[in-house]
Amino acid sequence: MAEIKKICASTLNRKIIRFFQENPSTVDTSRGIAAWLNFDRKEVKKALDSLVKEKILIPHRIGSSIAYAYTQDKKIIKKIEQSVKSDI
Amino acid sequence: MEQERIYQKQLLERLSKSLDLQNEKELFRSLFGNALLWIVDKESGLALQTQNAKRKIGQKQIVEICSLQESAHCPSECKFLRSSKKKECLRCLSGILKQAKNTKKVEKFVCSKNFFGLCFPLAQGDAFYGFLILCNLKNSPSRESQRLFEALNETILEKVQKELELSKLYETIRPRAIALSTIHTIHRLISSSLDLNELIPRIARLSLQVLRAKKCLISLVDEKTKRLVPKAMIDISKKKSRVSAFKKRIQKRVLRSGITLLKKNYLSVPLIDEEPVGVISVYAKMTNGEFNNFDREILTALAEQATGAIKNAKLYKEQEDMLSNTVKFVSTLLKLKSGAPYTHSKHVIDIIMGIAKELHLSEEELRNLRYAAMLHDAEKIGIPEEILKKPTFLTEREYNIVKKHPKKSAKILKPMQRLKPAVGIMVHHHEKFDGSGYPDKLKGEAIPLGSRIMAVADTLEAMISRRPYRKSTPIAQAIQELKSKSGTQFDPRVIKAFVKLAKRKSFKKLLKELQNG
Repeated sequence: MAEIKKICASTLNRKIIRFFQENPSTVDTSRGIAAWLNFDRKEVKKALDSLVKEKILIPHRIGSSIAYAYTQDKKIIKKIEQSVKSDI
Repeated sequence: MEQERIYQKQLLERLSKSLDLQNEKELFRSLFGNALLWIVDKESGLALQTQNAKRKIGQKQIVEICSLQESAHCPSECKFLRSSKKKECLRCLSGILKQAKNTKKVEKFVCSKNFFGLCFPLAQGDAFYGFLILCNLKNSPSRESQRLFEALNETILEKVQKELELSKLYETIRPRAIALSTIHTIHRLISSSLDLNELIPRIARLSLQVLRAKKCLISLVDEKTKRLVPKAMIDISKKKSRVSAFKKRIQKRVLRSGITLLKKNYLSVPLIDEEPVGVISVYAKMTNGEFNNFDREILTALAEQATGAIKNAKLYKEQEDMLSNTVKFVSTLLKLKSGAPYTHSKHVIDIIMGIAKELHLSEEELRNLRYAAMLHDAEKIGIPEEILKKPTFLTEREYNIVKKHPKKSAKILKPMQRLKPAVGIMVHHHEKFDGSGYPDKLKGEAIPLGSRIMAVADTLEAMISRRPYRKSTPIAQAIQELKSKSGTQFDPRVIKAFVKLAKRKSFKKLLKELQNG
């Protein structure tokens, strides 16, 4: 995983991470998350996929689309919490 | 009472940040010189100074009024409150606050330094929140100015109250809407799978996700033995996890009673269709907290969806088994009817499926391909026996008859709608990648992928299997032959996957078995 600070350099990544921190039980598609964040769906989809690569989000496939959920990895969650406290 | 206090605090804070109030201040400054506008909290006597236009909106200053609380900090803009005369000034303010609170009307006042001011009580019905004070006015405000002050404040108060209500509504509804959206997405995730082996672990993983739990166990009732059998046990901290006797005991209890069991460290919900079909349990919160009633509601909703999905998957499996048996039956029947001297080996199906998996075909595509492979021999129906048994090359007339037979077989199988994709694959497996095949001279990607895979396995079998009228081709030579026709007769992608597979020990064994019949 890249440094959290680098990942959070993007405003959208920060917003998505904060959304999942506040709603860790969420399992939603890019369309749903884009609606909650009031952002363009395509941009959100791109950011969500990049966060999947960083293992911050977990993908669940529904046919051709994907639902995203927050990581269950304690170490990653802790890292994010530490970083977010100071930066976000 | 506490809620009222919170509401009052939120209202005054919003008022202090109100841009409309800032504009009002500027308006009165333009009318009366250096006017000051204050919001006073009725409870603590805290005065919230509305922002200076030059300052960033969103910043606020909290100032205590001495007459209400003795330890005062002076508002930066009022020279009297900074001076030794502040006690006198604040006594004047305190008096006017009491008066306005009683009358609930705008009150005009003159301070000891002969500056004028207006006090607006922030009240609505029986509710009373504080005051808005306009002071430091050099001239006495006219009746019209008083009315303007009153009307502006009433409008601003109403607007801020509405904003606050909307914000509260948003805060209440948003998490519920997010939870509802999650339940909807989970429903889609669960109902998109009809394979029980994939579905049960998926339900377990999603339960862990939504409940933020560390472990999940799903057990289903075995239809024959009527016993509860663990089907998925997921522990996020371990790759493999053991199902303890305690967990089994709890699930049995829940199944027997049909009632959800909520304890601090675990939550167990029965999966009930018309009768109990299983139990889903989650253990240990990730946050080390306790399971609560909200968790119970969520897992119950999830269990209801899971029960429906499990039922559908079971029904689908029954249907698939029935279809598979029908295909076997039809295939055997057509084989017998065709009178063909040689039928395809069962190993060909394994080769076909091996290549298909190597090419990552979906479950549905694999299923259709399997049916097509099973119906492989049905294609020979309608070909005269003398052609099928002819040991020498076919004449042009005979070959033309052979080229027509796949469509004849398709016609026989047409009423079986569920087999439509499989029949399509079967019909086109004699097409060649360069378009020189039959029956439709399809080319490249226009040929179904399943047909392209079947074509390779079919040719391989024809080359390496033994026949009384010719020798079997050695496997290595057959592979070379197939490779040499990559891009002309065969799809290069399929050949690549086949060659890769052919290097594996298990696949080599399979080819040997095919060769030996």
